[in-house]
Amino acid sequence: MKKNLKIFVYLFFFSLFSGIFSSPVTAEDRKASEILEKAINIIAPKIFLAEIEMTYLRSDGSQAKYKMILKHKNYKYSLVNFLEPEREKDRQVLRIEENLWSYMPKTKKIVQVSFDSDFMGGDFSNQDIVRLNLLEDYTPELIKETENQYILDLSPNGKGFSYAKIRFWIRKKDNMPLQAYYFSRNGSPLKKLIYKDLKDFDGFTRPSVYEMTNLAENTKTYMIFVSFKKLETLPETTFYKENMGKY
Amino acid sequence: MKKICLIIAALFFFSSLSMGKDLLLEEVPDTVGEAQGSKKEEIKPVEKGKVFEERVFGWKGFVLAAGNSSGFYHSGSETRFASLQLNLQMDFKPSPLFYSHLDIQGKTSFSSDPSKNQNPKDVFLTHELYFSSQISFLNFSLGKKRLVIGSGMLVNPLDIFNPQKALPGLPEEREGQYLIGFNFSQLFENQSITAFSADFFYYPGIVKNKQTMLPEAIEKERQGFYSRIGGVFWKCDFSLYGFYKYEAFHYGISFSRYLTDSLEFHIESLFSNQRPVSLKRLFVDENKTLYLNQIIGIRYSFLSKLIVSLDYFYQQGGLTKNEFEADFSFQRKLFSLLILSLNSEEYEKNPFLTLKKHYLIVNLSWQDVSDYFNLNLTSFFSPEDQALLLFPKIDYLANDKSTAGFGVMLISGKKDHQYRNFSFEYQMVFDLTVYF
Repeated sequence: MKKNLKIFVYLFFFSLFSGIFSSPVTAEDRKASEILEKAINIIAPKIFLAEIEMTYLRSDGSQAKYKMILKHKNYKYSLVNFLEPEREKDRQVLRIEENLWSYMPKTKKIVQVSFDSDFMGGDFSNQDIVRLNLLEDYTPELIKETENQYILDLSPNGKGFSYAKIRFWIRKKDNMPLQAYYFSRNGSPLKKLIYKDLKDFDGFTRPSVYEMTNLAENTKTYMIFVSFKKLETLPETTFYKENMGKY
Repeated sequence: MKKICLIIAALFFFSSLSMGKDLLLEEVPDTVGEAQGSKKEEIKPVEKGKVFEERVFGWKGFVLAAGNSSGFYHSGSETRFASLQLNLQMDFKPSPLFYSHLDIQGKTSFSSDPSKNQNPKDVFLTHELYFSSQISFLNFSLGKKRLVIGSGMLVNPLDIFNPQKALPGLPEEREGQYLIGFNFSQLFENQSITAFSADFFYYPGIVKNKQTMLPEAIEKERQGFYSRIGGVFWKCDFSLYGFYKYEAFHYGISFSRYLTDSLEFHIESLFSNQRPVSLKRLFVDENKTLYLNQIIGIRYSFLSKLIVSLDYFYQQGGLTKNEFEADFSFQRKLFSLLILSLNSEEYEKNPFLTLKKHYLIVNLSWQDVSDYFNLNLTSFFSPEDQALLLFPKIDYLANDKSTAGFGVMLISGKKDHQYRNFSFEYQMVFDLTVYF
């Protein structure tokens, strides 16, 4: 009886703490952060300007298309300015740190919006577009290293992020991002992002197509980078809320 | 007992092992540039000509055909009203320091019964014509400009300079104001303050339509200035306002913040030592009390596409029950004439929308109801006389360049409720917009 109880206690504590014992050590953490940082520098260097075409398929098979300019600085400031379609022209989305505003040219109103909301009805959310430094919001963990790829799990640093976990695949030889799965709080995969078609943008090589799949609704949205410029600086005035509405 | 203990422990053990196991732990296809195992990566250069260039000159415009059909209480008749307008906007930005903007509109309208208050006429308006110059953190503006103030979605107590006329869902009609203004903005790099900004705008009160022969007193009321200081503090968008308008000082506060991922909370308050301008001429108040006009509300996003806002609007200077009932039918006529005489342009906020003290305002905005449709539902409810204005509108996004909308404005309430002042029982609205 006593022996059995001992086994029970050992098994219980082993199962209870197995998660803790299997956690990676600090050096692993550092390695995971370095891998992710290099991948982020490819997706979103510190300061850049990009021209993007976004397309998603409607349920009847027709395409909804948007064209926009994305300006980004220091992972704190982002401005999206819509060029097309005509009915959305000059609409803007501005991020200043933890705040997000949308400017609607029809009413000339600037309203605070949520990072969680859909970005123009597609499968990307606002935060997918304007919160580009995943290291700021998530803690990476290297969970597997295959022959050619790193597989990282990203856990949110705090509350308030719409993804409970992101699983990230990164190519080993050049830290090129390949794929990401976004998970809900109940553990089910919500979305899948595939990075495609490496291109040389004026000496800066990065994927030129993002394919986001909404796994629940089985819909897809594509983001095509028509141009991309890594910059040395962007004027602060670009990101003044008071300048919204002026392109 | 011990068997049960062992089974439970084993379950714990195996479940903890299986928790770490994941089916999504295999290598994925290399989609970015090369096939797996290929030795040399082939990188495609971007096509020539597809490189972004800053826009120096931009323009856009739209043609709007709108109409409404109203059913009237008293006569039982119907009136139809239609308008056709052309809007053109141009921007010119030769350098980051200089920006100019023009927004003009030509409009012609038709009515089946010109005796009703929707008089047909042709108008040509310059809504905006201004230039602004940005030198470092200082911005200077001069010209005619629309200025939108406040954080509330449907009613903005602070929006006293050039208030919005239309309900959400209807074509925006907001008159610009001649102004000279300065703005100081600064972004900070620390965590507590992300942006700081201050405005100062002076409205010289230039009367653009001399034919209206506005009385001198009213012309004076058009002059004013407004100043604001505010910024983003701990995720709160906060501003303090000082106004001088209608020959009096007014003070305001606006605040908005996201409390959770999807829930926004906002307050907008105006303190004024006179009643709302649309009422002060009807009922002179000798007490000189400080009146409060306030919106407190929340906005919630459901499933990323459906936004519901709920606001409580308190208008301390609104009509009391006695004032409203005191031969109001006569007062209403007088009031209407006054408003008409003040309001030479057709662009003025509908003064009948909020006559009383308490309102519950709800707006539902559902984008992409089924790919091609947006739905907007607005309601104003006054508990004092149970007056309800309900305005559902659906917009059809025909293609990238055109939209069509249809809505019905319905009113109900106790006998002689305030929205009877609209004169109509229902109004159907249609619009077709073609962008170019």
